[in-house]
Amino acid sequence: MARRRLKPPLNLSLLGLFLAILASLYLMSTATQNASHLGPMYSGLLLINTLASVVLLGLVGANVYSLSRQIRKRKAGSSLTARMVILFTLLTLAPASVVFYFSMQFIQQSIDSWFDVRIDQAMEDALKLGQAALDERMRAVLKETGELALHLRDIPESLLAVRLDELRDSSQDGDLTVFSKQGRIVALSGGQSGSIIPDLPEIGILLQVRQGKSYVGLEPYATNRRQIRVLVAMGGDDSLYLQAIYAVPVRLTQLAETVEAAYLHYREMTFLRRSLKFTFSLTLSLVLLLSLLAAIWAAFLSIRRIVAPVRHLAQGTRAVAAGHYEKRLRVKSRDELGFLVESFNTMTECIAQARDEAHLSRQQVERQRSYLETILANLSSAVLSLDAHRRILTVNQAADVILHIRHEACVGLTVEGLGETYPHLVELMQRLTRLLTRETAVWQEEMPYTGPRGRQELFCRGTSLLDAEGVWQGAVVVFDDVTALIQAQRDAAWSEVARRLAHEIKNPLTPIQLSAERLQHKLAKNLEPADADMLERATRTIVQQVEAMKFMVNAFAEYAKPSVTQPQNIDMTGLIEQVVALYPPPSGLEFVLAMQPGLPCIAGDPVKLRQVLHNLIKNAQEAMQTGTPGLITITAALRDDNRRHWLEIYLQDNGPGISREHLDRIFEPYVTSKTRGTGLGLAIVKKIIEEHGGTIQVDAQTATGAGFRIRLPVIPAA
Amino acid sequence: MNLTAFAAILALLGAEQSAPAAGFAVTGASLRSTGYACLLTASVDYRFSPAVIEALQHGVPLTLAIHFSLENRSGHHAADNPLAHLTRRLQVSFHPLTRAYRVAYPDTGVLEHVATLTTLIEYLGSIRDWPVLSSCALPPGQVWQASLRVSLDIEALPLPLRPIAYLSPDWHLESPPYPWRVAG
Repeated sequence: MARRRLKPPLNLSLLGLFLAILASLYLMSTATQNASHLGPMYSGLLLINTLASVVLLGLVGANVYSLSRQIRKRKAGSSLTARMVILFTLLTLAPASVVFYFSMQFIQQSIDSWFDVRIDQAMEDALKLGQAALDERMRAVLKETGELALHLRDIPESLLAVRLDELRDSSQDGDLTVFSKQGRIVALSGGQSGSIIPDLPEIGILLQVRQGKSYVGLEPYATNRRQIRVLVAMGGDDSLYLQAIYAVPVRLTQLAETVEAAYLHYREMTFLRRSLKFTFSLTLSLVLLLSLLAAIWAAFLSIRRIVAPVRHLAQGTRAVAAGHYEKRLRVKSRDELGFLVESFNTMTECIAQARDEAHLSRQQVERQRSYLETILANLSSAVLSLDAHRRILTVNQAADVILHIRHEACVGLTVEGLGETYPHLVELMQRLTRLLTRETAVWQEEMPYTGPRGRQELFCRGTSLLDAEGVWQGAVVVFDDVTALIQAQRDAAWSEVARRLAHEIKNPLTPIQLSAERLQHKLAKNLEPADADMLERATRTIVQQVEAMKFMVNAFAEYAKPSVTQPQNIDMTGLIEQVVALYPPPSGLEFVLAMQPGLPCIAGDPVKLRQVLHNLIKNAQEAMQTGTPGLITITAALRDDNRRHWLEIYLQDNGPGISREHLDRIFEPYVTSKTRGTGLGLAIVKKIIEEHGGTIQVDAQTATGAGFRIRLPVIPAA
Repeated sequence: MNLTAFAAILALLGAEQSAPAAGFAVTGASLRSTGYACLLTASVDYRFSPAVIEALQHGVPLTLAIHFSLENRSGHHAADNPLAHLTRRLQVSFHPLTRAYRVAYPDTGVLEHVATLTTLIEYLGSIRDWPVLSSCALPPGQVWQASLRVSLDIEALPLPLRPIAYLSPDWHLESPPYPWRVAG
């Protein structure tokens, strides 16, 4: 029994791939949040998930292409797979699309809800408030620094440092520095910054002040601290400048920075509003796309696995339909489909077994049929099997010789149809039909009929074929040609007659003749002339009749005695011409010879064959009516029959012909229509021809006179 | 479409074509040796795209990366092992309270404030005395090649802006490498 193993619906590698996709999607989703520490990985994760989507799209595309090719090729299970995949995809797409739509709506609306016109305005106002506070302070320190510059305007440089300290004490806590146009520090006061070297302004600021404009600016310093730098021209001839740096109160700086940070964040968020929507939508779309593609791919794999038994079953069914009963399917599951596959295997096994048994039976039947056909083909009897409609089912080769038909063309013909096809069988088939309609189980009957070669004696036996209920289903009819047997029996009888005649009659004839001659010799001289004359006539009559009886008995003896032939090669053309030469025109016969040139020789006794020709010619001559010129036509030709070569001699006269009642027995002794002769001429002819292995037939079809067809075997070529 | 509108579109297209294309380019660079270090001085032409400037003025901080490398060009595999390969980043941001731009150097913690955008571009375009090597005394008899390149770091942008920045050419701001030979 085949080992069975249940597999999970998805193998481990597939499960691992799905987990990796899920993890990647989770990481990307987490990274999408700006505050996440996974932020730097966002681009990489986006790329990985996009590539994964492309790969999955390629896999799904390849599966769709493969499935479409299978459908075009009408592969088993492809349509079912397509339907299931479409159904699964629709079932997956519908809820996913709904969720996607509402998620997108939610994202759009949620992000939009973060921003409000009032908040925008509030943030703007807060920033302006901060700026206003700082501006106010800057204006104040600018004004104060300007006043300080006026106080210092006309003070000599040597006293500037002292005066600067005084002014600083009375003013706000700031760093004051007086420097010249060339950047030389003239005086300084303060130390707020803790730096020994005063923080001089940039070139740009100096240029601005040199043009007569005062400068005030807010600058950061240290960590989270701000200062206000003020630079004014002191006037006078020395072109001195006063720089004052005031620290912005820490509280004010903190508040301003908080406002600025919030404003910046809000402004950045406002600016990134569309980008944020795009990013969230992109992430969501990618998650959905990846999930859908993974689900569809998994659907393809799962459905293929589910449909596989059905596909295998369809393939198996096609194989069985094509005659491959050895087809076995692997049982991969123990569910209903597995049971179906097992049942299929059992079914094909049974079919294969039945097929093998049927094959064996057919082989046996074929062997028996072949055996039977061989027997039938080698039988000398013609065997016909008929069905219930008297239609010929089988007929053997012997029927060709006995019934003079072509047995191959007769299968399927009815008995009546056979008579119609071969007119010489009409009478025979009518008799056969009558016998068959009697529905006797077994019957036999002698059936003489006249075929193309004359009368034939047939012995016919029939056996009815009955089914289990005894209904007639046909018959087997056997024809035996007993013509030769009957002829042999007749010949044997005549030979016996001839032998007895020779033995029983010939012996007393000589004493009778001698006694008659003696009576004549002893009594003639003692009688009166009249009596002597009567005695002489009576004696002569006795002697003549005895001689005639002797001639007849000798002829019978000749006919009955065993033949002694001296076979030699004979050129029949020359022999015929020699015999014909013995009948010159005064004989009253005219000959027409038609010899095929180059006829081969035959083996035979020339004396006996010459006797055959003489008997036939004399027979024709004697049959001629007085005063009618005799015309005898002799043809000789080579014939092929039954794969043997025959020399055929056809002899025809223009006499009265042979009457129908003599036709069948013309070759028997004493069967003659003539008033003269012994009646043994044709019997001797037939005997000599048969002694040479040949045949002689009366041509019943000839229009005028009598025709005889002689066939003698030709010596095979070396 | 009437002729006026068509002419207006043509004029706009022409104006767009005549406007300088956004992009960075290093226009000059040199190394100067002092007693304690080898200092880099360079000038860079920064042309920010309108989208980038808009983002900057809306509070999006920009990070610029300056890539310097010094390679030996004498051997076949010298490029695989450069003598110096430094990247200096600086972050530019806009501060609405002071209406000024701040340039921060994360590696040194130095902060610079610039009042206008023009000044900012001028300030950024002038690299002064950036120490890149401990000494400019390179091994003699070899060919040295220095290279300078500046780019806008898209990965340092806020996350929602990154996909668009990767997809939009407005944000792909990077100068071609500026190479120059340094005598050993």
